[in-house]
Amino acid sequence: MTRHSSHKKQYGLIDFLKSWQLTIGTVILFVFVQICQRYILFDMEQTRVFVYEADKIAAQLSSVGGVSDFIALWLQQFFAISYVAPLVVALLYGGLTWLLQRVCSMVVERDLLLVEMIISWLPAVFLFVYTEDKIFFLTGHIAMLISVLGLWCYATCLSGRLRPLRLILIPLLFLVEGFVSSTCVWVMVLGMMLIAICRKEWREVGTIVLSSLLMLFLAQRYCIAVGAEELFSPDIFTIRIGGDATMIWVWLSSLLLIAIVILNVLKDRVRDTTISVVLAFSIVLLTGCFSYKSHKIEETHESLWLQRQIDTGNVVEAFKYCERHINNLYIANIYSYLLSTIGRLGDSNIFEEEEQLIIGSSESIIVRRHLMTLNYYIGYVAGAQREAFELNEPTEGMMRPRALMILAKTNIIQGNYALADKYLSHLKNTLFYRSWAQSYSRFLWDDKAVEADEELGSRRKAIEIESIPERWTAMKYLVSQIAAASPTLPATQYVDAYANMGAYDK
Amino acid sequence: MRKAIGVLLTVVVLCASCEVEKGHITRVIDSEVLIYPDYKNVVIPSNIAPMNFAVLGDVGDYALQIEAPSKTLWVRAKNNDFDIPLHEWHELLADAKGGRLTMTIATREKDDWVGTTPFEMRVVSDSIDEYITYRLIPPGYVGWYKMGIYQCSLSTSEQSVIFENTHTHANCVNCHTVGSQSSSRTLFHMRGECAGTYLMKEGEIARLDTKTDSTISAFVYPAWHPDGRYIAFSTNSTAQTFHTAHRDRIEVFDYSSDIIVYDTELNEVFYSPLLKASDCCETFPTFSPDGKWLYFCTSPEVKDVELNYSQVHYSLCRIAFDAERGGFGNIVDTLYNAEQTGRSVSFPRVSPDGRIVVFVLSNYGNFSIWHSDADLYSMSLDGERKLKILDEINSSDVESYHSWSKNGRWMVFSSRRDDGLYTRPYFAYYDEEGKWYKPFMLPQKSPSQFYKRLDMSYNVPEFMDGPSEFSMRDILNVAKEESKRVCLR
Repeated sequence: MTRHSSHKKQYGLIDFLKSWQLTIGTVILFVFVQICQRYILFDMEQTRVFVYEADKIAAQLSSVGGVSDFIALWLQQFFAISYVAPLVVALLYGGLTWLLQRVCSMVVERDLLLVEMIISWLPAVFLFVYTEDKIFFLTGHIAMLISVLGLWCYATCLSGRLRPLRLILIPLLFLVEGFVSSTCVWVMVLGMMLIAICRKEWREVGTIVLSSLLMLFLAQRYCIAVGAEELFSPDIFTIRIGGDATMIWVWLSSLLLIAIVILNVLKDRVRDTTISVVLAFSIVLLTGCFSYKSHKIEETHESLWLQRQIDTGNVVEAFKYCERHINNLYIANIYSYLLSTIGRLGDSNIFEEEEQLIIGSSESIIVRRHLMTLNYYIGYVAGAQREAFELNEPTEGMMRPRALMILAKTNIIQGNYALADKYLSHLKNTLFYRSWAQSYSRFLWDDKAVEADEELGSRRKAIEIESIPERWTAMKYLVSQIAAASPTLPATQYVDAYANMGAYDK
Repeated sequence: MRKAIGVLLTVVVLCASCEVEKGHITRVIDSEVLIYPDYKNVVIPSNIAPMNFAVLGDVGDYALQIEAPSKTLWVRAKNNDFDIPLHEWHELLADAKGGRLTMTIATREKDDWVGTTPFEMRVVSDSIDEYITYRLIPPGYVGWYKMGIYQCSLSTSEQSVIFENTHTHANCVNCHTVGSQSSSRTLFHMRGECAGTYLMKEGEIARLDTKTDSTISAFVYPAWHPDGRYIAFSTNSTAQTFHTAHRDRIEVFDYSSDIIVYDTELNEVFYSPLLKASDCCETFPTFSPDGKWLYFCTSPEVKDVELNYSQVHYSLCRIAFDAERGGFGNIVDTLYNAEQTGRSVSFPRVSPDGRIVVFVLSNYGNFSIWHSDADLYSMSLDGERKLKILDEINSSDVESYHSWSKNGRWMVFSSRRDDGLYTRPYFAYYDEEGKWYKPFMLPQKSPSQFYKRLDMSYNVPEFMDGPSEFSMRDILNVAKEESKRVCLR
């Protein structure tokens, strides 16, 4: 009984929270990401698919930041499956924080949670100051994990019998970090210096400064040698970590900070609590300053959500969503598409302007993605191909899976089989699009099979129209041409919708 | 245990030695094997990189026997690709110089190698320039992620960077042009960040700001004068539009264009009123090898060109050029009259011996890379001015930008015959008697994989006699500096 009581006392609520804060934080992060970030993560998968081609992998690994990019891309391919993306991010950051706590516990002998927080915030602040908020890639997360792993190795060496090994470890870490990400070299330098300062090992600080200068110089020479030097600042100073990493890092750190505040209040550590609150406000302020939650991003989220619903065949849910939100032309574009899929576009009087049915081309990635889908759907093959091309070309690696699928299909329709084969061969080297690519390979150099296929055959008829420079023709006339050439295509519904608005001259 | 390991090692070594063992063909059957790239019966220079190729069709066990007059090489295929060792290849070329290489593809049948119908490659003693330069660019319309200007050694197929835009915020770099095939005279343009014309001449780089008040635009299509002092440029106002259903996806056209000449010594621009006519578009300048003539294309301005682009037809003309005083003649000589023929000329290039001019002829316009009907033609520059379609090197798809080797025996040209979109460089032999031969695609290691995976077009291929004299770092250093503004004479 006594034993049981003392056991109960040892694992009170505070201690329980302290022991489980990481697990709870990881679970909450998973839920948060699943609810708020999953479309951004879905967009990652859509942006660049991992291709199992030896030469591409070799080129990727040999570039600066290539290791983290390689791991990130490999993980990103699984984002095609729902829930995997948030799980990966949550586990990544759970692991990251755990590692950081291990580093702190090795450095700080007493229970200094505040110091731990300052250290954990270092990369976040660093990222805040320098990152571009428009980049959403997992690469930054991986690079950060490897950085902290490096710091953990360093702290382990510094604390134990392996201490002399740090002289080898420091250059080794720099080398690895250089390959992972040039940004992380800086994170490493600052982290190692902080560890040494916390341990009041001033000679060690000097060693780090000297080693880092030497290593940075060597890293810079390497960057120059491999042609990775930026124009106005050497590559070693260039930040390559994405904005979403910053957000999630901030969010997780905020949670930990709140936990510390609560713990400090409970322990009556007023001074520490005050500092924590001030820090928390500073962080919130920083978050506000650098947050990417702008109107444009809201639209991105909305569009990505709709896109995913359509992709997964959940058109009815997307349709219901749209009914509540026809607040911009992009959404109207999708709305007309959704109405058409359920056969209600022609008898709908919702659209007032011609432009609401199909908006024109734009250099925006989101618009291009929608137009690619919409153009292909209505049967405007050249337009779909152009948007797919323009969507794919400006992307690093040029491997947007859905763009490649449209490029393959449109080239099959046009009879450009060698080109279609090229795009299909890329998709055949992926994990999640391989079977799709193999199934479409049967159409290559087989006109009869293409013409017999409902999807491809109906669109092949639609390319037999008079070609007009797109800049000088209205969509309403183009869809009427397509509908006349291939009446089974959804273009027919668009013709009806245009007619309902009185768009055609009598 | 040790004995077992020893036996195992012996077996491994023996197996490995089987792979490299020289095979021989036991019998030959009359059977054609399709290969990629189609190198059958091509004419090649004696210093070209290994002409690797792949067997088309299902993956099988193939070997290649290459026979030179006194040497034979046996190569096994990996995934149907024959990658010929560099050193052995060059030994074969040296052996077969002036003669032929006989290639026999063999398939494995049990323990025998069965040869198929052999084909030949003729090795001529006329060598090819050591390098070509080109731009690699996705064949897109508006956006891109990466592009750059590269050089490739023609004796090893090794590519290296001259300049990549990854360091200048993915801006546009274009028109890398070599003067008299010399690596000491090159230039290219950068648009957007660090914009300017980068002139690399005799060990120095200069960044030029080339827009003047009296020119339409910054410098565009360049052409070096053979003495290296002058460079002719066009200045163009260009636009594009897209087809809604057409084999040629896009139309690119000029609203207006002129030709000017830049004096590299005096940093000044001058022109003739005959090259800057208000009712005509002049473009694609090029000098004759003796430097006495400036060739160019010209078309009357067409009203509402964005709609009437198919009515634009460029003629081929020339005007005398006096390099001594830096001036022009007073008469424009029309070599090919587009109004009479209804077709349109682009990219004239005079052969180094001055005997012929080769140009692209298409149904209309000047941006021939997007015209599947574009073919290469030659015109004799004697009194006859005989026009000839180069059937030996043309295909059913686009043939466009071309340039001559230093010795005038080779021509590199762009073609989309491979897949209809991604431009690849081809090399054609032109003998002393004026005969053209079947061209071959730029050799690469594992070509079937290489070209299938390469989502970039080779743009503006030009011969160069050595590697670029400047590194990207040198160019970047100049990019940081203020550009030098060109003056008007």
